[in-house]
Amino acid sequence: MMQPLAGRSVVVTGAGGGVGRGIALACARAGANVVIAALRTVNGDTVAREIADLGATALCVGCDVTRRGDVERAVAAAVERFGGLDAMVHNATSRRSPEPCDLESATAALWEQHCSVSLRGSYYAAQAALPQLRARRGRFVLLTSPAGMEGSATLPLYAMVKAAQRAFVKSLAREWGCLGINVNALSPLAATPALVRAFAAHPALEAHLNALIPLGRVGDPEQDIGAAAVLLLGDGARYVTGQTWVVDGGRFTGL
Amino acid sequence: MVDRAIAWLRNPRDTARPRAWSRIHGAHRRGLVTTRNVQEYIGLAESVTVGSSLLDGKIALVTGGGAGFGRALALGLADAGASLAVLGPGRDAGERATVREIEERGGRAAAVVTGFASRGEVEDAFAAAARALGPIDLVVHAYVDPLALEARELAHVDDAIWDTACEATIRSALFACQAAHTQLRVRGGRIVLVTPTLALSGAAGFVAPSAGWEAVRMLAKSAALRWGALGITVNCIAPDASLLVGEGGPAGPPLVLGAAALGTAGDARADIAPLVALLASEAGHFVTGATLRVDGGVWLAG
Repeated sequence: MMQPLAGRSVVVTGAGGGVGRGIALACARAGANVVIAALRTVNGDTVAREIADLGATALCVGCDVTRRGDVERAVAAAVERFGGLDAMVHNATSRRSPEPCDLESATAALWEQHCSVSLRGSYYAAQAALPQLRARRGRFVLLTSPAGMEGSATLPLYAMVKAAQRAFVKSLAREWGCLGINVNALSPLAATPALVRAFAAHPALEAHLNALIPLGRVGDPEQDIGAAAVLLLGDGARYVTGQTWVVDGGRFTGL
Repeated sequence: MVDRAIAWLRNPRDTARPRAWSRIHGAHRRGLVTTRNVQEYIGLAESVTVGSSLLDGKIALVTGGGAGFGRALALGLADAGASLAVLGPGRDAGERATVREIEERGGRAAAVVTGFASRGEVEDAFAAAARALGPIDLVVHAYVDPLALEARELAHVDDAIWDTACEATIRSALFACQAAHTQLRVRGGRIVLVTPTLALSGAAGFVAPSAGWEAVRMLAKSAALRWGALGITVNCIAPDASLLVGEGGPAGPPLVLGAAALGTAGDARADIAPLVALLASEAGHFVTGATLRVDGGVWLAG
């Protein structure tokens, strides 16, 4: 089996489920040692066990990305267990991300929920990972969304943090290029648990969404999104930085 | 008229000033107007600035109007005939100075001192502006903390700087949009947010503010989608960030990304305010969710 990430050390935040879990599993199959940074260790431990069952190596670390110390501990765990850090993937978002809200009545407290996880978490992740990524000329990846490129009438605060992360990536790529650290964003369309639940509740939704996707289906978190993440973290993407990779079956064509 | 302008450009000291002289002079100084295209230029200048009635009877509110870029926009919108509510944090009584300058030119204006830290204070300030001048037609959010314009590697950003340069930029725009919605929801109107092009390009040393402004761009798109049915348009104007730094601004690596096709990053009052006026006029009623780059042709990618 090809192992393009053999021996690499990768931290994935929000890896207890959904897209984060998919990226963690794909990286592990590709040979990486993975730190599952999860808010709920009960979920993270399950993913770590799944990875162990594959014969690969993973470690779950409880991590609330809104706390700088937690993010630093996740990086430290990678260094301690796996000897360093080759890639930081900040995937975690607020669990209120899929919750529709009216922009005119959005509260500062709800903004804080979105911002603290996605955006401030990006800032903590970048600062915590920098010394290690610098030593190994590593990779830094943020997860974004079409909402962060086209706006959203129903998820305005989510759209704002996802947009902010794209500019964060562009500026940081320019800043860290001289250090040999590649910084990119990944914009997935995947069957996350929230989307699967929505499909179950509204069966017509799945057909409607599939019709909007040139490839005709919503992506699988591991097989489709994780696989692209492995490419982005691998040697083949060593000349790619400051970019948003849209991995969505062709749905978004705005770039 | 054209003869007069040409004579004046050739010999400004001994010739009477033509109308729109300040705009023509500014453009001439920057090499944008020559004796060959002056006729065309006078037409443009007159249509949108001196003596124009594009925004006659309209009431515009400009946040950050007490200094720099925001002041220049406020003055330019007053040039176009609007009454101006000038909002800002009261540094050096800048808002009152802007109001005085507008009044000295025969315009109508009111200053409101406010912070942007909570929705409540922004709502109160917008309501005070409407009480002073009448129902608001146009809201321009140009306020930015000067700290956001200081170059600083992310490794050297601390939590207080991060909050001011990134998150406070977003929160102030969110509160300004919400307060604008309160003012505009019945009659409709225009919202314009200032988002420098470095949100589009990225820039080393500006991770925090570029992230902040890109969030603001998506706020504008989301608001445009949500409030379109109320007759509210929401757009962004994207100047070169160097325009926001202004004279006496913080030192650091140059914010200029490259050469401008038009030879200059422009002047906020002469080159950018007229476009905001156009957006605010009837001519702008079908433009929403857009980012209009007004950087003289520096960043052409998006």
